[in-house]
Amino acid sequence: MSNTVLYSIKDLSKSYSQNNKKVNALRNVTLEINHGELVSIQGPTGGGKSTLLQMLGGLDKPSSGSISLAGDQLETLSEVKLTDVRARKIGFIFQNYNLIPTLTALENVQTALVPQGVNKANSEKRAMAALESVSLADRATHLPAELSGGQQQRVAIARALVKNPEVILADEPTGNLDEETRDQIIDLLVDLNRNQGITVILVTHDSSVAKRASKNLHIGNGVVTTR
Amino acid sequence: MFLTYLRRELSQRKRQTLLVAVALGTSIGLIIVVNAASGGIGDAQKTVLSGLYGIGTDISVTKNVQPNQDGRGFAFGPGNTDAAGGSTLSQTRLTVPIFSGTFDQQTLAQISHTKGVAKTAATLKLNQITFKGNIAAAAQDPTAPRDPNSQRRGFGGGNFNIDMTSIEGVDTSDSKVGPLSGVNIDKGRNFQASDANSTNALIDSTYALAQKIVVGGVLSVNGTDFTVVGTVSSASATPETSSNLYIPLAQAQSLSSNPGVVTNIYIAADSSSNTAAVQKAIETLVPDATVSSQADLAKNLSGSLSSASSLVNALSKWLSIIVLLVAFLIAILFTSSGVTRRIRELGTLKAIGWKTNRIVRQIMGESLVTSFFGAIIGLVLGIAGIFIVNAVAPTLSASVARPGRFGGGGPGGAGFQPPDGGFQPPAGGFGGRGTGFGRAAANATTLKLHIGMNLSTLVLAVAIAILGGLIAGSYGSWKASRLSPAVALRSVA
Ligand SMILES: Nc1ncnc2c1ncn2[C@@H]1O[C@H](COP(=O)(O)OP(=O)(O)OP(=O)(O)O)[C@@H](O)[C@H]1O
Ligand SMILES: [Mg+2]
Repeated sequence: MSNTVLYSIKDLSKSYSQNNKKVNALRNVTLEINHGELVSIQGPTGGGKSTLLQMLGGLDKPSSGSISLAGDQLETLSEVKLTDVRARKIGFIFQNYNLIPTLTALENVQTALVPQGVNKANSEKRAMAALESVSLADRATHLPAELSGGQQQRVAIARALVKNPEVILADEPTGNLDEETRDQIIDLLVDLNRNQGITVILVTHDSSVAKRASKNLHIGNGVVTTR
Repeated sequence: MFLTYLRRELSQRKRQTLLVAVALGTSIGLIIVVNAASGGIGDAQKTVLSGLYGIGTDISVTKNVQPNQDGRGFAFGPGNTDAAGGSTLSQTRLTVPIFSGTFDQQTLAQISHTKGVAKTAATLKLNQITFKGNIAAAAQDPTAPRDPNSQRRGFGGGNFNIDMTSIEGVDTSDSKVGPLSGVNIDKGRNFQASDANSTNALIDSTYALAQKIVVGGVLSVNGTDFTVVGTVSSASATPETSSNLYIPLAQAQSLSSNPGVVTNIYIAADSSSNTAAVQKAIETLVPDATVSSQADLAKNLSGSLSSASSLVNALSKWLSIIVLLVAFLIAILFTSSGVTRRIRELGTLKAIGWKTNRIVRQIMGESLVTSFFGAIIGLVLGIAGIFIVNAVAPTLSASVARPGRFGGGGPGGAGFQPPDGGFQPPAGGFGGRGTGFGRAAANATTLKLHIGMNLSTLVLAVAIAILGGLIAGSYGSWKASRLSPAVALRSVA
């Protein structure tokens, strides 16, 4: 498994035009990521880290170049197909947790199963199991506002996990957390990678991740270098 | 998840939900009350008008003419000279009212065959004027000095009466439309088809009381005796009916030497939405006729009822439009700002694989349920408002200028109030004891406003609230549908 290619990226560029000025967020990126890798992405602010994650996650289309995810050529897919790829293959974790504030922890996890049309009982069971795996079963009925930052991010990890994704994409998942909690979250993600074989790609300033990662990417001014 | 998310969204964002619901609710509550008031006032007008024109009448056709001066005077033959040298005179004239024109059979037939006309009733309105008196000898002397108070030659102290009876020749077989459609039979019976050529008559209850005539009594119309078979009064707030006496149409035509003609045509349209078209068609058909719809007739109303009517009609239209626009705007703005506030939330759902359709459905659902709450609030407010209006129940007064009615009266004078007003004969002139002509020209009525609930208004109000929800929801979900899932990754939301 770990030797099969998950992402194959060739000559990928992404540019934004802002106030008639062209911003090249990614310039001719070519790289491969295999199944089961733990990839850390580092770089200065505005370097293009989030933009690369958007391309990997099928949230936006590249300006040029190609990117395939487990056989799906993402740049060619329709919006509907791309949504389907996100629903089945990709788990996202965000810096601001991005939980639905009006839904409980359990319901937030269940939102990830909605696109797949999982029935209510099944969805509850799977969501509960996911919460258990992040040690939050006892907080299932709490609203996000009733949880600490670290707990919220663990709910978000459960939401990403519950669909059994090919890959988890995390954009500075510990950016808003204190040191102790940060280590818990990183450990959790590394565990998922090591024990469940899930490919984890995370943007982080944490150098301890880089040490454990199978691949370290650095992005500056839209140019990716592998270390 | 749809329902859970919907319920959570609405219950945890109570302020926004409530604000939009209350905005929609208040506006449709107001619309319910104003429309009900408008309907109530319309009913009040109908009540007043039906006394005059009959309940089922949508359009009435009459003709105004310039009075023909010829042949209308009283021609007195030599009277019986009494002991003092004066004369006793008695003269009866039975004519159509001086400003009334007539329609012939052919016109009537054309009108009744006009498209949209369901029923017609034609009547011949007549005035019987009886002059009875004794004139002192001096008055007959053409050289006698003129009455200093009068422009006319004065009578030198005669003693006479002028009686006027308004008589209407009616179709005895059908009273669904026309002057007898809105009346109650107080005593005796109504006309029936077999009365067509009889000398039976119906008498206005008020007139009968004044004249001390009861059912079974006899009245003379131009020398022919009629037997009163029933007394009638208006079912409306004003008890008087449009004429004093009703006799079969054929009798009225022959006694007044007006064979085959009528003065008033009452029309029921086959649907009320057709009234305007029918009115136009008849106006084209008979260009010299006055064709009045209930709405035109309502314009003859004056007093607080008519002010209330115009106020409420203006209110119900503009207020409804403005209030609705404001409510819709509030609903749209709040739904839209709600979507803006939830950009990251909705973007995240898209990022984790929710289809745009599902998010649209969610926003739409929230908006519709909110508007449904609005509809309930509106119904409660509207119904409460109707109860309050009825509890406070303003009393409205109405006076009706009755077209073609003789009026005024009183000693030595006579006023006449034609529909267009204005003709007033020189006052005074009769030196004797006069008797007033007929009744007052204007009937003042007061009625308590009662506004009713109308199911279709309530249904419409609910529909309007839901429409507001649909519009706001559409705008909100249109905004949400344009969201890129990439917004989920933006660090500042
Ligand atoms: N939607 C957009 N429109 C215009 N310019 C954009 C957009 N998104 C990103 N950019 C620009 O592209 C460049 C790369 O942005 P990106 O968010 O990928 O940086 P980053 O490495 O994630 O930075 P940070 O560490 O601050 O999160 C920046 O110059 C940014 O201003
Ligand atoms: Mg970033």
